[in-house]
Amino acid sequence: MTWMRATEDGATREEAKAKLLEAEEEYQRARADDYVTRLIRDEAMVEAHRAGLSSREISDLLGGIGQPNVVRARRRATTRREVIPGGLLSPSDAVRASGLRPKEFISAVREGQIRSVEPVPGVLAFRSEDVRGLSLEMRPAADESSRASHLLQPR
Amino acid sequence: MSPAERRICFNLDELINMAGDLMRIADDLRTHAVEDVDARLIDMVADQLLARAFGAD
Repeated sequence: MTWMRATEDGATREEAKAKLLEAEEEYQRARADDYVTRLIRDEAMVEAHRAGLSSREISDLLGGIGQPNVVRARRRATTRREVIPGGLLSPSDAVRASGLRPKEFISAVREGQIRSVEPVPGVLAFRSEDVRGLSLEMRPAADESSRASHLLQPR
Repeated sequence: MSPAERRICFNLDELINMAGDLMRIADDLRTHAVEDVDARLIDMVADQLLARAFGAD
């Protein structure tokens, strides 16, 4: 490893540490129940790990939260990352977003009222606008709260 | 005992019920236990069942 590379790696580690501490401080300030600050803290842990910090170092940095908790947080952050690209919904999220019962949604697909796309071979998804259209077509008078509308927001 | 490679078949209603149950479990995990990872994993299984129910091979 060259001196320059070592310096760059060291800077990345320090930057990742600083970001993690900042995210943790924000998380503690907002209290443990705040979902968004927890998401940010989990992501900062993933970045710190990528920058070369071990689970033990991360745990020590955050006041000894324990390596298993660091591993859990990293796993949470990694699993949250979407396999489905933005603007598309997984089949289960499409059913939720439509506000239809699974049987109604499945019938609509089978009858060609809505078409799935295949963003990755073997992975089915639906366009948000198609799901919204189907929902309005089949349940025009439905209460908005019966649809998981937050899933239809552009990401 | 049937051979291990024998295909196991469910009818459409059974698939729909299984997918619906799994989605409800995932929703409960998200809402009450804040277990996003497990909820996401359960959704992935539901997605596979839904894909079959849609008619995918």
